[in-house]
Amino acid sequence: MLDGFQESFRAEAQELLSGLEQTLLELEQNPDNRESIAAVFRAMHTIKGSAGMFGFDDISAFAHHVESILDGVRNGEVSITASLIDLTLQCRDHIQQMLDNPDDPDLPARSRTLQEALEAEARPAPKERSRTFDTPLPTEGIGGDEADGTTPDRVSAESSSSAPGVPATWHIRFVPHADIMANGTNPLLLLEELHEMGDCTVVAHTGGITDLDAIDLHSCSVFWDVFLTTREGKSAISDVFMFVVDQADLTIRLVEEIDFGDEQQYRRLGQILIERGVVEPAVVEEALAGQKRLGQVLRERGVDQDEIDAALREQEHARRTREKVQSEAGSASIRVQSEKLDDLVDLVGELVTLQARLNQTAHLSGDAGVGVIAENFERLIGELRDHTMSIRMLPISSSFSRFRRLVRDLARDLGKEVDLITEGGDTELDKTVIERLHDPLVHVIRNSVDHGLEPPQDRIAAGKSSNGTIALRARHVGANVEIRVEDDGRGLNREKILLRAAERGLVSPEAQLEDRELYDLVFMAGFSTAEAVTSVSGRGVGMDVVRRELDSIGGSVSIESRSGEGSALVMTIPLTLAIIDGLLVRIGEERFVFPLSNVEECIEYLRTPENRGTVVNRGTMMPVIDLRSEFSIQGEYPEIEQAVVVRTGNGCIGFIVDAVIGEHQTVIKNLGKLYNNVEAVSGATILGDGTVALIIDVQRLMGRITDAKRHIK
Amino acid sequence: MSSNVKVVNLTGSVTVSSVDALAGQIRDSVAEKEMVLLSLSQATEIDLAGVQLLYAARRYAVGQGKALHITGAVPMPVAQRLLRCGFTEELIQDGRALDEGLHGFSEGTVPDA
Repeated sequence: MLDGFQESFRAEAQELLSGLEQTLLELEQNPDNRESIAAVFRAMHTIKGSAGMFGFDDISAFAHHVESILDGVRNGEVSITASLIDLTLQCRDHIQQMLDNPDDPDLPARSRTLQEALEAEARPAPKERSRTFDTPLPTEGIGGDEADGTTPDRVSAESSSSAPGVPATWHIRFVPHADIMANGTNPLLLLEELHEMGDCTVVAHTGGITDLDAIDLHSCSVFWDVFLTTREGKSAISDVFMFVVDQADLTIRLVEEIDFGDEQQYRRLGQILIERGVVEPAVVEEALAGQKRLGQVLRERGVDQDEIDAALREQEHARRTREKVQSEAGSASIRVQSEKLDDLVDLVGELVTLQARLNQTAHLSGDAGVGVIAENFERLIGELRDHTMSIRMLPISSSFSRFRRLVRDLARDLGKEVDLITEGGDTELDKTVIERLHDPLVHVIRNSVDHGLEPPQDRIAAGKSSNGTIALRARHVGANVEIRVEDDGRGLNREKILLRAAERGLVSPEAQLEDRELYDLVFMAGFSTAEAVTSVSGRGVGMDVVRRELDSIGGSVSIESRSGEGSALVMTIPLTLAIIDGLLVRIGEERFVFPLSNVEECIEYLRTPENRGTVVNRGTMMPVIDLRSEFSIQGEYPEIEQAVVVRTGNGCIGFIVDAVIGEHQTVIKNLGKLYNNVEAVSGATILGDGTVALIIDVQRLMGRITDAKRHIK
Repeated sequence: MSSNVKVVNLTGSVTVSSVDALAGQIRDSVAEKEMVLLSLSQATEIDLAGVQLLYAARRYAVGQGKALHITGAVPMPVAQRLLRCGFTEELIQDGRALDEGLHGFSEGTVPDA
């Protein structure tokens, strides 16, 4: 039923809705942030518009109601309260519902309930009309006589909303003192310097220049409004004026984005002038009521032409910036369906396989010409592979941001106070990996909020702040990405875990376990039911699911904990899934691949009576595992074998193979359901000659072997 | 007709160091003639004092009931500076156009202050 346009509306709406959620949560933290209010309004406005255009009339009508309330907020007629934000979040969820299940019969009733609730929420604070103009607008001493008019918290709001890298438009009013030129300063140079920071519109106010008889040409009679769109922060802008701070009044403020509808423009021109204290709100209202152009009315009223011009130039600058941003966004990135990317990766995978085959053929033929071609081919395909992979990489912040809502709702439900910190959101991971991490992360975060963090009164009793903190941190560690979910709660309860594990027969009650082994128990299947230490009851999934999911993407998970101080769940995830660099080895006629990222070195191994189960490597004893017997492969040992040395959490371990063939770009293929329970291999790959090599899952193979040994003991 | 017009050439640096002398010249010319034309075509540089000179000259002439306009070509460095510092909205390289385009220049009103 849905045609392509509707599908693309859905995609757009989805993005708008998740952006809306983020902005609402930010607004909750910082209710005075006009930027956020404007952004929420815009999001709703766009949803309304496009929903109507694509035939989602119910959504459009509903969004219209929400939008009109938000418009009140934007104008300062409706004040922002926690319950209003909560309601708006519910409305957002409702729109999501309408998108997902348009045929749900309960939707119209729910729409009405929400609308009524919104109207009730908006009603109690109908402030008189004039209030709109004189209080909530961020004027901040633009008059020029309050050089330091910005309040500290406003500064922090501004700097956070315009971190370096994100272009923002600033309004700078630069009012040099008359004597600024006395010591040789040329104020014009400062203005020219601003041009180097970004797109810049400068408006000189020349009304103060008198005639030749009255003027002292050596003192400054001009001041400026500058509209600057830059990626630099506020401090970089003030730095330009660093040497004239004592000789000029300077105000720098963030300009909110502007809507460009025609009727908006009038209101906006008036608004700019009111903000600057140029005209009284009543004048603008009167002008708007009449049919004349606002500019004309203002001029008739004797409003300074320079001020009107400056306001018009500000509008023009904003319009130009917006057009530029739109056209840049249009050309800088294109939207591609993820299936197409998956297909591309598949094709590159095939190409990599074929290239391995070409290499082999070239090698066998002994033809130098073909050899050179094969080498160049290999290099090109390596680059193609890397580029293709990087296209699929997404910053993990896209996933992190979804948890803000989760944490907020959980904290509310559980009566806890929780702050969520995220760090390293720009760390990139394969799109599929990020998608598959979502559920495990949800589970782990729920655990942390539910079980890790104590209720506020317990925290205060323990001498902590009543607000608990959940931190999501991501960073690169070698070829892996490490994601930590930390809480500053009570930590894991050793005794309770041991007790429960003993109850379930996982360990003997007297067992002396190291922390790592103990915490590993939490990941055992069946450990996590009912009111176990680390699971949210009623969800039916436990930490074993988290581990299984991580295993399936080639990652690992572990727990760190300090009693009373908090715990951290550490996930280690490979950068990508589809293609890895592998080390190809041979045992008998069988081929196996070790992920190269795990391999430390390869050494020769002589089977001697004293070399049973261990080998001396670089002066230390190292355990070795005989893969031939592990995999029950028939045949004779070669005289000299090879040991592939792999680094693990507890030192190195050697895997004995017949021969090391060499490096191999490995396209990972799933083994299929039948082999789901095979622990020692994580997948397979097709070699150049068409044979299949199994990819060894080093972590699990070792786990299996150490488990087996413990049983023997 | 031409005897009623005087062209004042603002040559070289039209800056703090030269504006006082130029102001004297302009004042004298306005006293002598009905119309004074300021030419920037030989100017190499202009600073804030120079820009203020242009405005103040115009306002002075209007105050005296005379006409004062800018004429001739506007050299690139001057045109660029006028644009970048917000005195014009676009790059103007012609004096007559500058006469129209210089922000607030043609209004000729002298504020009470």
